[in-house]
Amino acid sequence: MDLQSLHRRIAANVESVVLGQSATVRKLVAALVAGGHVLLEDFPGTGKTTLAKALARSIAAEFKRVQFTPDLLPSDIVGVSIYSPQASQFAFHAGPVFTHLLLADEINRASPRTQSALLEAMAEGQVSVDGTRHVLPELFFVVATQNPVEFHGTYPLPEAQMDRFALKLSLGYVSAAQEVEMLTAQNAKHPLERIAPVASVDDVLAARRSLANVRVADAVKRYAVDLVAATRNAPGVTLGASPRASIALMKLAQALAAFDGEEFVSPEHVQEIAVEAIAHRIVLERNRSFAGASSAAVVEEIVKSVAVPV
Amino acid sequence: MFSTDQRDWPVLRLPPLLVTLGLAFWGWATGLLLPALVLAVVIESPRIAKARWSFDAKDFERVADMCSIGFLVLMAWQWFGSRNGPAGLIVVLTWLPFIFIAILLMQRFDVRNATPLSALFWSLRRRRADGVPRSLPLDYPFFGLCVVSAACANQRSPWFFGGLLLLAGYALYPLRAEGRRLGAWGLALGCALALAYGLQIGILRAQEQVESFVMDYLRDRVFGRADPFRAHTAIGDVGRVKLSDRILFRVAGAQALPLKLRDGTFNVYAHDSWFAQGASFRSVPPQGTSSWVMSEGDGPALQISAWLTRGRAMLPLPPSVYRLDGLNVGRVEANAFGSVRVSDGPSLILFSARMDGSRERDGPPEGADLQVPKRLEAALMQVLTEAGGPGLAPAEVANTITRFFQERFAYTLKLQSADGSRRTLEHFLLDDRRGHCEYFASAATLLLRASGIPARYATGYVVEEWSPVERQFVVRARHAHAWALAWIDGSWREVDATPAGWFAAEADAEPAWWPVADLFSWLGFSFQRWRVSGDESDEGFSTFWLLAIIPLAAWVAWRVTRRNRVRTASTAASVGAVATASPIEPLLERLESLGFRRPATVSLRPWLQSLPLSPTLQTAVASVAHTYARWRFDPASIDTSTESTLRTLALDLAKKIEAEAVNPRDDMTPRHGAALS
Repeated sequence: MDLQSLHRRIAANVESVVLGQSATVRKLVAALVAGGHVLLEDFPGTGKTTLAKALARSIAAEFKRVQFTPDLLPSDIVGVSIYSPQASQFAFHAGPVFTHLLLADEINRASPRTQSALLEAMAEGQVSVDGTRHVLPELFFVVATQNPVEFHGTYPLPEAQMDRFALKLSLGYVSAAQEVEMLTAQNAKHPLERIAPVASVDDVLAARRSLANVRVADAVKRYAVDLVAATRNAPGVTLGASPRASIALMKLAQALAAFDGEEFVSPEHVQEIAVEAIAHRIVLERNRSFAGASSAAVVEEIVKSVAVPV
Repeated sequence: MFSTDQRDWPVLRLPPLLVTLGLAFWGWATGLLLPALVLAVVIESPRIAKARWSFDAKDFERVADMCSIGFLVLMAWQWFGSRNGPAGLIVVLTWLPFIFIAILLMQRFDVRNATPLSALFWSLRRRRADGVPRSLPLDYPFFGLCVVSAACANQRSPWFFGGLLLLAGYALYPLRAEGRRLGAWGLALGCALALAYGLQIGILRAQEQVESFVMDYLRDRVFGRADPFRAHTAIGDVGRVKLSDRILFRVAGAQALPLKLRDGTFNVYAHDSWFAQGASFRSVPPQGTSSWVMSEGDGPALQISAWLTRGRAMLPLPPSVYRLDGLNVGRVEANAFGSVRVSDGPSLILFSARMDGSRERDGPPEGADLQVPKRLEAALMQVLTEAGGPGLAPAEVANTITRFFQERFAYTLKLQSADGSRRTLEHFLLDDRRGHCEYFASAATLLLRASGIPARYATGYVVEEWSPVERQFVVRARHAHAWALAWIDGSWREVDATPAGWFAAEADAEPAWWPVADLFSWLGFSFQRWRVSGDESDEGFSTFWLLAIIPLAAWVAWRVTRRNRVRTASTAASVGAVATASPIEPLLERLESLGFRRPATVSLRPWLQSLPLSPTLQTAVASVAHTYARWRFDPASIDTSTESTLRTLALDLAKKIEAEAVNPRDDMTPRHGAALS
């Protein structure tokens, strides 16, 4: 199954549940095949969890979800070594992180310590417990959701953790017509119950491998780097985006190009994903954020000011 | 998720040939039609030449810097190097389009046809590293530059203003607010220009008023000595007369000492001042470029060098001068009293004054040369009697008066009066009998007149101080002197009544450190003389400056090429196809002529697909856009066959678009956002 049809199938499946979010779904699937994790941030009730679950159900893969709470401990996520009196030794009990798809629901409700427990897993695909290294499955995709940090009882994610996410998506409210349609769909049975997997783990892994075949011209790479580099000197920004952002940007653009059935990346693919791939990694000056500026707006401004290669 | 359809640079619809018209206007106003033609051809050449480059902001900055440095160098050259002085800056301003055309030309050959603003503003360069160089087509600013330069020609004709009016209308027409009637727009523009015209005249009038007021004021207070019609004296003042030790002139070749150089002669005494009445100036005809002949004669030459203030001065000249050589000034005038004034000169003049003892510089005496103020008559007669003057021959009278002053009077720079009130000439003659040269000269002149000898009051300098360092005579401000001229036996004779010790008395006032100041004065003078002497032939002078400029230009060129080399080695190679003209250029040009201009930050393909074209054209454009994107962004497919195919396709499409006369006014704003989200 090539990338284009993989995207088409998964997108069709997910969009039957989450209405009116085709652009977001496209980016979510792009992150899946590009090997990056996704952070969904929006107000409660906009369908974050539903989207994540719909994606999980579309792939015949092991799926676990962790509801993050303030008292959640790192061992609750990565697992714990427990002494077994029968075997007279410690046995490792794998945590929910050992799965293909992990839904970290309301990730910013847990303490930073617990959030950081996910760091190693997300960045390196492995977990170290008591000095032992436990490798995660090859397909390990984290979809985390969070409420905007202004809400009560939340801990903002540390910058390093933020950088581990390839994308930060928000869903936003759908149009009135779509909301009506949503009500109709929910009336009988939750549409989530109706969908069946349309791709296997191997399909996704194969798609990831074929991503390398999508060619990127030097001019386009340079454009991506220019966009990311621009955040480092943009006014009002204390922390710009890392080179990790450039890498993510290129891979995501590759995925988007492949979804469009093309064998090479065009600058418009980079533009399409730039805000979502970069914005969450930059830190604004305090007075700026208090003044209502958002990092997304900063990146949008950059996209609108860096000359695009033609 | 994001759209690019807000806050893009507005699609600037430039009036066609705007810059060329500006250049033509400039050429016409400044009389530089040929350079203007050349510039216009150069600037419109991108219409024919298809080659385009993808310059980055740094390239623009470098070229802009070159232009700026060139501009500054020319300014410096005109100011310090040329004889024009500050007036030369106007010359540079009239050449502005020539100096800055390189930036516009670079922009024309750039694929984006826009100049990054960081090239123009240093403040934006610091932010350059963020990769956000905002750019703007420089056409309008350059047009403005042309107009400013044209104005510098100072052509005060109604044609100029009319042309300006038309040009302004033409340039502003595409920028007018939508939905306003043309008439209202024209009226508003007319009002604005009329207001500008009136204001400009008002400023001119105000300037004239201020200038004349300031000049009146300064003439009286500061440049009293340089006034050929009036000589203020310190007669009446109380306190110490202090004149500066600054060196004003240098004289070489003087033989008979002490020599008096005269810069003014006056015939009427009133209110402690001497006036030159009926002494209007007439131009001295030039002979060749730098010789001025007042009369025929033959005699030795005196080399005089003098500083000019704003190019003007009364020349200090020996009494029997008949010809001036090597005097590089625009105008020389002389009056009947032998005063000579020059104008339009450089800051330093070096000339030789030829003297002929048999020639008379001054005109014959007139009735005014015998007039004595009624108020002083009694005092003068009393003194004359005391000196034993009456009844002697004219030559004897002069000697008697001189001797009388030498014996009975004392020289002093400290002016006192008994009761602190103003001193008068009477007080000097009868009671105090102390004073400085102005008293002696005035008194002597009036005494001569009282005894029936025509006399005039002369001011000037005494050449007596020999500078062993400079090996010539130096004349300081304190060597200023006044004496009388008496008409004796058919010629004017100098009658210097000031007691002989005055020169030494003045010298005593010199500070101990003054020789150091003299040395610096000498160095400055030497430099100026060297500069001016190179000016004898204009080429030599230019060569000097050219020699100064060449290393600078070479250094800049080296910097630019060296950095460029680095760029070609690293970035340029990786970006690829930097200097290749785009194969779809004809298509883009066709679209641009229809009013569709791609904002620099919108990707080409979505932009093309968003154009409001007919469905058939849409399909064709999409196909070309796809092929182009393949050619441009797919590293695996760069080959010449695709490029030539693409060229043909684009050309065909351009023709099709032309054939199908789409109306660009229907939907000017490209809907590029739609294709992205």
